[in-house]
Amino acid sequence: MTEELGLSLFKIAFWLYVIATGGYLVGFIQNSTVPAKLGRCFLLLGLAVHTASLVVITVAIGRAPFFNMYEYMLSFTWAAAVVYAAVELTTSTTSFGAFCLPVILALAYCTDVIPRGEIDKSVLPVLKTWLIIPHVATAILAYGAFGIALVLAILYLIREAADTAPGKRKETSFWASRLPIAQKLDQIVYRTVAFGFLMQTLVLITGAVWAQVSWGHYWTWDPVEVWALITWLIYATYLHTRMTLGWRGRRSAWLAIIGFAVVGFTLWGVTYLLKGLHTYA
Amino acid sequence: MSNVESNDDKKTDMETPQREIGALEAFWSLFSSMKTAIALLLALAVASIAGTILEDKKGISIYSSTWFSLILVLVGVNLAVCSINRFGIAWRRTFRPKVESTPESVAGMMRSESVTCGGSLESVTDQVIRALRSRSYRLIRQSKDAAVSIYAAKGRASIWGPYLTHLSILVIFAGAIYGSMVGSEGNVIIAEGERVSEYSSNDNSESSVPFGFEVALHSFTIKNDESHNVMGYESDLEIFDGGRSVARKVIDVNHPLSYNGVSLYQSGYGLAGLVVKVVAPDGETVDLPYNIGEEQGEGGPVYAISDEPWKQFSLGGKALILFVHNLVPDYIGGEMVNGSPLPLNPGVNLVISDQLSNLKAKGAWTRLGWLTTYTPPVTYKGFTVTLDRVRNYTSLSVSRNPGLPVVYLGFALMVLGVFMSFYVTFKVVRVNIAQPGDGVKVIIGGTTRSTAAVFDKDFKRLRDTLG
Repeated sequence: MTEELGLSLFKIAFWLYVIATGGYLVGFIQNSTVPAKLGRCFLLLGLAVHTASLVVITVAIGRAPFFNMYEYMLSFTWAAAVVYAAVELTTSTTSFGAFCLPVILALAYCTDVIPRGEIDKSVLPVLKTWLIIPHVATAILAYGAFGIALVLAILYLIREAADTAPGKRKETSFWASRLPIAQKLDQIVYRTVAFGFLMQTLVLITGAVWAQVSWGHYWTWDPVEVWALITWLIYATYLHTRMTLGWRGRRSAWLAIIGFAVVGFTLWGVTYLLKGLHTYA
Repeated sequence: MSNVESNDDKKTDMETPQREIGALEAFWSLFSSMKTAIALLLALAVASIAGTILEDKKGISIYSSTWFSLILVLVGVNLAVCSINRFGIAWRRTFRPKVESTPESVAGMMRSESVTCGGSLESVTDQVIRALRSRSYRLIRQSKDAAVSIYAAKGRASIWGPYLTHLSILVIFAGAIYGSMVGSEGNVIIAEGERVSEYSSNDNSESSVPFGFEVALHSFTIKNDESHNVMGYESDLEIFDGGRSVARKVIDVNHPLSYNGVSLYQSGYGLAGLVVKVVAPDGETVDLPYNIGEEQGEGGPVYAISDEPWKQFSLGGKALILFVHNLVPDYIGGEMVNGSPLPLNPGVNLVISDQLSNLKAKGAWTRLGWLTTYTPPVTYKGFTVTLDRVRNYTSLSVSRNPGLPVVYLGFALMVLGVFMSFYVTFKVVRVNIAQPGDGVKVIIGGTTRSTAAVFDKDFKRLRDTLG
């Protein structure tokens, strides 16, 4: 069980994801389920190999692979793939794969491009606690979910636009014959956001407990903490507008999209654009 | 009976009496509004974003400012008012639902089916009740005018999910406020071998606050790996209360020590002093302790001997004088001499002389060179000189936060509340059973905030039971 084995396994997973992406794309364009189901097989296979790679790396380095930007991306790509697989399996739809897999592939490619880093040996003392595991695990699941929700929200807008476009025979338009009905898409976005919101709540809480144990303050208004909170508030707004103001469809979809802009800043903007104690790199 | 419309009638048709709305009512109405809630959520988000940008660009922190606190207060008020307002509704939905139904009202529910079957009103009612109970529903039945209405509910906890989530935020706020009012934060520096009874407070006064007990540092250790990277550092602390030892723990960055509501966190460390040992040819030894002071430089702390760097002493019949020429915290030798501002391997550069009467003479002083705790002893005219030991100090963060258990309770409630809101589905099934003529007519209806598909199994069970 060496790190090299783990990294090789990830490379294999990457290529499996590539084939999966191909299957989904062909399936979507041709509106045929066979290539799409093949895509699903390769996605699940890739996910299994990716999981194995994370396990091997964890055993090899003696800790969870959460400690620098490379390891974080490796884990985050996995979480996005897990969330997508869950969405596909619980909704029995393969049409999203053509759009979600390229995103997962892009994340996997970014992981490959980031240098492994010298600092894996000397780990900052504050990171040496079991608390990092629930904190980062819930974070990657939250942001993976919000990312998938983003793609689905865009698909909603596309389907809605196709449905309201002028002209006849909307039911057999390119988009309508391939994507689920708009109302169902809207519902799937909602459920994905709800999962992400539960995870984000846990991110904030596990982070606060960890900060209390390490530094003696559970909340210090540090930029990363604040941006994680802002993320939570934006998606709380999404949920409230749906549950109490009855928002559906287009307005909700736009909120889910704006929400991910906030996630983007939380993940990358804070590290690369702001200074602070809590950087990820 | 008069055919003439009275003026009074005309008036009530045209005018709605205008009540005066009092300030309290207006306040209540504003703060129980969901639009206010969303506006406040967004205000908090925008203010927080502004805060991070201001902090980054201008170094100002707005989070303890009055207007930011005001937003938080308004959020709290809004939550409290909304919770009080909606409590009655939640209570009634849970414990006092309307049970009576008509066939039309049930047929109009989100999902409904109709079954006609044989048997009596009673037997069919029993079958329906058993079927619903087997699907874990809680039931209320009501008979009226030869029809039976059944109200069945499942997942009522979901009604309280948002309630609990909002309550948890108020609990967290309460804990935070209580902690900041009653608690205190500060820090304390303890050198190895020292025992302290006070810490300095972080508030503007920077006053000394007594612990109520004493804290001693036995030893401080830095753990490095082979390539000189800091793996961790720890302080071996002991607490004495009334002179008795009550706690002893080696703390590090993730493992604080708590006693009597006060928590001590490993925060930093530094050099406090060092001891040079000289051994005479006859075996007589002397320890020469030096205290080290530090100042904040650009790259980190800058250390220097804080008392006299010259020490005069008699040993083995001779009078000698030792001078600390230079001090570095992380001696690595070579051209660089010092590797980092961290006190990982303190080194002293010493010169010694035995010509006390004429220290300015040429050749009066002998350079002993750089010594660390690892370098072998240096000899001078039969004497051996070593850097015997280094005294570190540990810097601890001190925190007393009686509000913490309340905050933690809030966290637990929040997780439970969010889970209950989204992962417990509140389902209501209504059944109207009547015997209009031949056969018993059963109308089944279901409603939920989720999708109609959640009733698939329930309705199937009912259909199968009723045959």
